[in-house]
Amino acid sequence: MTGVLSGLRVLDFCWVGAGALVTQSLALHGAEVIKIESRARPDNLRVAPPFRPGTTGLDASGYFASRNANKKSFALNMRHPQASAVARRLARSCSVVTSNFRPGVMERWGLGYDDLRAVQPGLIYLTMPMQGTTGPNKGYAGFGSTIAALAGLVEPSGLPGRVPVGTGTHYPDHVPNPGHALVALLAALVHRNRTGHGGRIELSQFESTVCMVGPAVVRYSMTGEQPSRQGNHVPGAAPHAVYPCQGTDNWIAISVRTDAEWQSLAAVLALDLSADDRFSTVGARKEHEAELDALVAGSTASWEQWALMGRLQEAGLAASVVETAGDVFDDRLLATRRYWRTLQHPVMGPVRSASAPHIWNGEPVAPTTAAPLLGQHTEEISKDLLGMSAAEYSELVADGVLW
Amino acid sequence: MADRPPPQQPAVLHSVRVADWTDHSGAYAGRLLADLGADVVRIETAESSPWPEELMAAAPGETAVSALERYVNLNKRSVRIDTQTSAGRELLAELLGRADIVITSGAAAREWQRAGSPIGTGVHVSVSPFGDVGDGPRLAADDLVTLAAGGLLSLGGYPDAEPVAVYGNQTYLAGGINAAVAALLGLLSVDAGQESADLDVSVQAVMASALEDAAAEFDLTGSVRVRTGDGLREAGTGTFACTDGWIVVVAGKLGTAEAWDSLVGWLCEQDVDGAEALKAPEWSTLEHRRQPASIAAFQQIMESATIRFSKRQLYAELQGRRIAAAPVNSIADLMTEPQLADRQFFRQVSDDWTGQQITYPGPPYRMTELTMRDWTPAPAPGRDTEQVLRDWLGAGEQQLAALRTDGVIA
Repeated sequence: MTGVLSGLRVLDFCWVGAGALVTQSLALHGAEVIKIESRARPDNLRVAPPFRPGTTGLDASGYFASRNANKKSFALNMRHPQASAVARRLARSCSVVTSNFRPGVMERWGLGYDDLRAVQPGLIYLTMPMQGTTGPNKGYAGFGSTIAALAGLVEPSGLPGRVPVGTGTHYPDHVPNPGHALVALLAALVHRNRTGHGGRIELSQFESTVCMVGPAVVRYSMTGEQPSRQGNHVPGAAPHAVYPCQGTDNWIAISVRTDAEWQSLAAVLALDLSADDRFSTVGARKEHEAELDALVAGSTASWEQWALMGRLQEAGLAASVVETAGDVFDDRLLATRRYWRTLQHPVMGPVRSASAPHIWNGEPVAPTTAAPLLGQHTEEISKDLLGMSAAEYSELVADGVLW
Repeated sequence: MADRPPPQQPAVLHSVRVADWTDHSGAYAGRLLADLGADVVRIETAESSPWPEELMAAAPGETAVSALERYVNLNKRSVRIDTQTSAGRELLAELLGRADIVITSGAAAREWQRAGSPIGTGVHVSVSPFGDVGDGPRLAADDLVTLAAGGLLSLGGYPDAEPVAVYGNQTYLAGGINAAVAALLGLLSVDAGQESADLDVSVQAVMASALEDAAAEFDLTGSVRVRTGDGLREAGTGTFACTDGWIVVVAGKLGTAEAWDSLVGWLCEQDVDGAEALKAPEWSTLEHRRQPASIAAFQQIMESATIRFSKRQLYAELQGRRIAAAPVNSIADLMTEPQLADRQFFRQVSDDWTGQQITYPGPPYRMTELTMRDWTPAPAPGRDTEQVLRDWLGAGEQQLAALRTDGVIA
């Protein structure tokens, strides 16, 4: 059932970050996603590295490719006065419209929710402005990394006494915001299939990211306590940290919550500490955590990381190699799930692309076509979907509308 | 808790029944579906795992409860069944069979399935750190370990220290979000005529898709991106100290040429040493701004200006110049954040289990012409056992009395 969304056509104005991942998920599940972009203002990611050495241009970005698989690209220069009429024609054939511009942009083009629902009953309209469409800061600029800071996710992340570090990525763009948006959008689809009614969904990326510190908000309101930067340490568990292994910059994450687990860990690491009161209970281990970490690290450092992970997991302990962005391609479990697929791209050559994170009735939900070239499907969509004549299409191309 | 007018139409998922048999690592899925109006029933058994000790919250003199638990169980109902008895196991199987969607995570549900007991007939979503295929079910993990396995941990932290995890049990919430997505996709397929849908969500896989450009970088160039911490990747983008904390600014790679010029303009107005030099043409190239010497020089110039202001002043000042800047907000800062206040994002809930007023973030989205539910407080475990048995199974008073007598329900 990989094509659960087949038959669904999506007019997609999302670009750069979070929005593009929402529509990639729809496309993975069989929706026809028509991405609107143009040479006049290409998606920023089309010019963002990484590039395979020797390839350049608007069709060569690996960053862009990683979030636009299975989509179609329709080149439409929204700066051209005739463009919004073409977009509205497209909207008549699409029952979902998505965007992540600042408030007012879609409305200026006559593509606001109220404009489009008039021509498309049952329309589901997703808008993902950074701070929502109302409020004093609705026009503010930002990226995933600034949203994470604003939302309270960065301040408690890091080592004590040092500058906060967050995830090191534009995390809100990758997990919370596309994820929450998909939940809302799919629920709206369920509702529409059952009732015929559509509606508008507004996801403020700021608010959606605050939901990821929701438990800390609840705790603060109950106790007045705020989290502080504790590195990898957490209450109620020790050892609970990242330890060095053989080689350069190789690490293993280990989490021990009970005394029995501690005994198992000490046995694997050949630490003879059974008589040492400093480490006999969780409370004692928390109290002597710096010494504990030093002892554990002293032992893990002589282990090969994968071998140690295997031994610890055999002993029933929560442990994993700190996998790098290279390791995840070789990961045994992800391979068993057939998670990465190699797609052929006309400019980039073979590109490895992620499947959905779920396996469905035993089968992966994998991408089938690499990210589109800019405007790759303009002609096909113009003629087949919009019913343009060859002459009309050529004229719009010549006039720089379809560009 | 219901501070809004009654809904005009039933909520988006109003007729959808969800059996939420999850532990802390998957319970957010049901919360998201409950917000949208689904009747989400949490299953509590004697085998239910305890909530992790981090995020325990106790008001003075009160027993600690988990803030994570209060957060993820809002808007749900709760049944408690003694599954040590065969009558209890039958009752649970019957409940699971009446659900449109069953979501499971954690040891209790896994044991149940291992024993070959039925897990419902419609949509079943299992969410776990490593998924259900291969060795996945045998491997242990918590948030830190799952972050490590998914690759995201390798990108966090300072270059001169070990990788550092992001705050807040992100993998539990991320797993929940993706389980909710899977549940709804499954429901769409069943609504379209499929008999059933079984979805196995791997949180490792969720995190592996969140590595930004790092996976593509390795794939295309063979180079492995490493953590850069608070160190700047380029002049114009980074974390800068101010009077009451830090501000984050992005006027580099993903920013625009205008943002960089605007930032230089602001620095010159602050009359800090070295600012004028940033107007030299080489500074407008990304190549120059990525030189270690450029990064060091910029950091010094920038902080000599930012240290004069509070984070909120800088936020307004720089955003006024269309520069992507944000304060590094604490949880307390969020409570007075003007944009959230204006949009009335936070809501108060009278929590009847703890007797406290609890502040919750609003739902992650708002809807027009689609209705979300009026909130109800997170249940005490077992609060709704009898009512759910009446609603879902049509249980009569006699049957409920018998179940009580047999100790199947309290």
